[in-house]
Amino acid sequence: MRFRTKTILGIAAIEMALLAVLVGSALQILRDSNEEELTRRVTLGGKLLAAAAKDAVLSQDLATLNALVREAMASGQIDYLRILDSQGRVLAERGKGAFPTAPFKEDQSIADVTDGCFDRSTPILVRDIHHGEVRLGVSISPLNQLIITARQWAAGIAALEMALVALFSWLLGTYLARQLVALCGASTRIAAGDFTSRIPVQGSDELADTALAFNRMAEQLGESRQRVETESRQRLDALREAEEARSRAEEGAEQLKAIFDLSPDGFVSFDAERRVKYISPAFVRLTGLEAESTLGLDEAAFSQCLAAACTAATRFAGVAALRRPRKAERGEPGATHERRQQIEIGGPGQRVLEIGLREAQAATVSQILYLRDITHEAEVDRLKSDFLSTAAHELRTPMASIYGFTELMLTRDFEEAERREFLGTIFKQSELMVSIINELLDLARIEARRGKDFNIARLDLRELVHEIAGGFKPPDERPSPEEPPADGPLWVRGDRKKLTQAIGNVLSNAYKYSPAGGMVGIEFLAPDGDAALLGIRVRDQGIGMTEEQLARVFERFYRADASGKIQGTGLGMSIVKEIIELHGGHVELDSKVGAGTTVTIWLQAQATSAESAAMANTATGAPS
Amino acid sequence: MKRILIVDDQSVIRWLIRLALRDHFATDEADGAQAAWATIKKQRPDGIVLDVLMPGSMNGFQFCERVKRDPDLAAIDVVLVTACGDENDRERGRAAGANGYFVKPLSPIALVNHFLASLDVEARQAPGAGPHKST
Repeated sequence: MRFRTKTILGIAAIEMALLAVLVGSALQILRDSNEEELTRRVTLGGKLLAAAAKDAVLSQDLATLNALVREAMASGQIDYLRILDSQGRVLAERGKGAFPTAPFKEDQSIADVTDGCFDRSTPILVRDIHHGEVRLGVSISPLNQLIITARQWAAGIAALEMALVALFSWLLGTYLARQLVALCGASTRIAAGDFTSRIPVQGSDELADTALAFNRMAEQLGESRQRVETESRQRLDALREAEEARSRAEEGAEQLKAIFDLSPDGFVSFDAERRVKYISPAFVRLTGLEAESTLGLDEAAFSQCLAAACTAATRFAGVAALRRPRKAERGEPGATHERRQQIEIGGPGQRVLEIGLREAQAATVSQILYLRDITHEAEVDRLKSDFLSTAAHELRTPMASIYGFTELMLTRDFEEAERREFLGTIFKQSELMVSIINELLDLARIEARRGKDFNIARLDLRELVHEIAGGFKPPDERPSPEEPPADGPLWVRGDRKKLTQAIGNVLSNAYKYSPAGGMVGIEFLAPDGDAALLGIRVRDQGIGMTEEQLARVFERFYRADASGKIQGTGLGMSIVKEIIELHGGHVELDSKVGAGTTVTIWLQAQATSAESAAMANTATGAPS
Repeated sequence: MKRILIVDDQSVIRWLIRLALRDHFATDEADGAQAAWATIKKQRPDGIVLDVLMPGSMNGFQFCERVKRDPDLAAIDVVLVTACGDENDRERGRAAGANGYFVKPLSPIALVNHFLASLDVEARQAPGAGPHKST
């Protein structure tokens, strides 16, 4: 049931009840008072008439009685009047209309009236002796008419009031209901999240106050919701930012991990307390130290651990020794240079490592130790250094002879024969020095250019070797090398000058290392089957070499003859090897002590197809 | 006459040193550590001229140490001759107990003067030029 209906019904019910009581009681009072008045009038009238008629009754003066009746009736207020004597005989009577026919019955009250006339009898007493009676009747219809009229008026007024109250309560109910509906709608909208919803404020009554209060509440709700929303948005933003930062950090960490994992350099990171926090796979590989045994160690223990893995000569001096000097100590020049140390890891996989320290500013990483594998560089450096000192040594030896003999000749007197001998030695040692310098330069050039300066062309190996052999001057007037009988050309691709130098060196060695003489022979080895290689073999019957000597022939400055009787630089075979290998070929050695040595140079054969012929035409300097 | 052992794998150097020393000392020669040790055992020299870089398993430093460790031989005056003149090698020579250290090209006259002084030999014949020691 709607509020408005309830209001109307409630008010109507109350109003109806009140009106019913009011109208009922008013009518009752009206009736009661009228009845009382009628009763009193009838009683009084009866008594007055009885008193007036008493003498006439006693005297039986009928004329007076009739006059009295007439006069009494003239008032118009009595319906009928009858005066009776003590025997009940009618002495005088008069009535407006017909007399009641029914036997007289006195009415004590209006309620007793059955015939529309209030009947009353008043005795005429003299000294309490009954002498007659006066009977009169008064119509009650005016009284009833009055009651009816009053009732009609009351009903009309009640109906009007009911209508007015209904109208008012309807208006009030409508107004209230409308405000409540507005409140309800606004509440629903707020509940749905629309905090801009407001109730229109009309007037200044309690509803207006309620609406105002509601609007204030809505406003505050809106504000607090906005605040909550702003806060939650800010919180969300912060969360998102944190999430982004975390993912960025994760990404970075992932990347770093991949870098550390893939890097050939080893890394060790230390936490804020300078304890080992991370060890890269490369570190494990380089040092042989396991992560399990090193993680969590403090700096000193870690240093000891690493030092124990080093060879005695290059023991790790400790992480602390790598640390840069503090700011206060940086006054001295060069103090800020990064300190590095070279260590050598012992054991089977001997490595040379360069170790450095990077101090970090991060909260969780105090410093990072990095290790670079410089085994190869160190080896190259060592070889270079060895080569240089060997070269210096080799140069100092002839220089020692030249210097020494010259000084002796300048400071002492010798016989002419000795002097000539010294001069011969000085001359030979000078020649050796020149050879060493030339061959060193040759070797350096060949190594530096890696064949880029080779003038490659198609060559007939047979013709080339014949030319070399023809131009070769054997020592001590020994016979020229024996060549195989002439045959068809053997095509190879190569640099004429360089191949001449290589083959010349081999021939020269063959003579040098067969000081007792003997044949030096040359032969050609044709490609065997599909092998695209051509061989030139130089054989001597000289002193030969042991297995150990044979293995070292290609070492720089290595000389199979330690006696110093055979002149040489120890670089000839190195040059041969470099030249032949840069031509895509290789050198084979075979030797027996006392039986002589065989050197075979293998070179890539040039195919004799149409294609190669076409190439040969374009090649410069190729013999036709 | 005091004896000097010349140890060098190169005959031309041995010849040069022998020539330089022949007026004042008797000389023996060896072309390597092994031969030198055999010679020392046969006849104890008063001085040794020792090439540092020799073929074989033992170099001059090691040979020098071996001589100096031997109580019977420690008094022998050992002069190292080398082609390497850097400070590390000099230090190694000192550590090995060498009495002298000559870098090639060495002055034969300075070498003679060293032995004349250390072995307290009176020069029978003054050298033509003033003694000058190699550095």
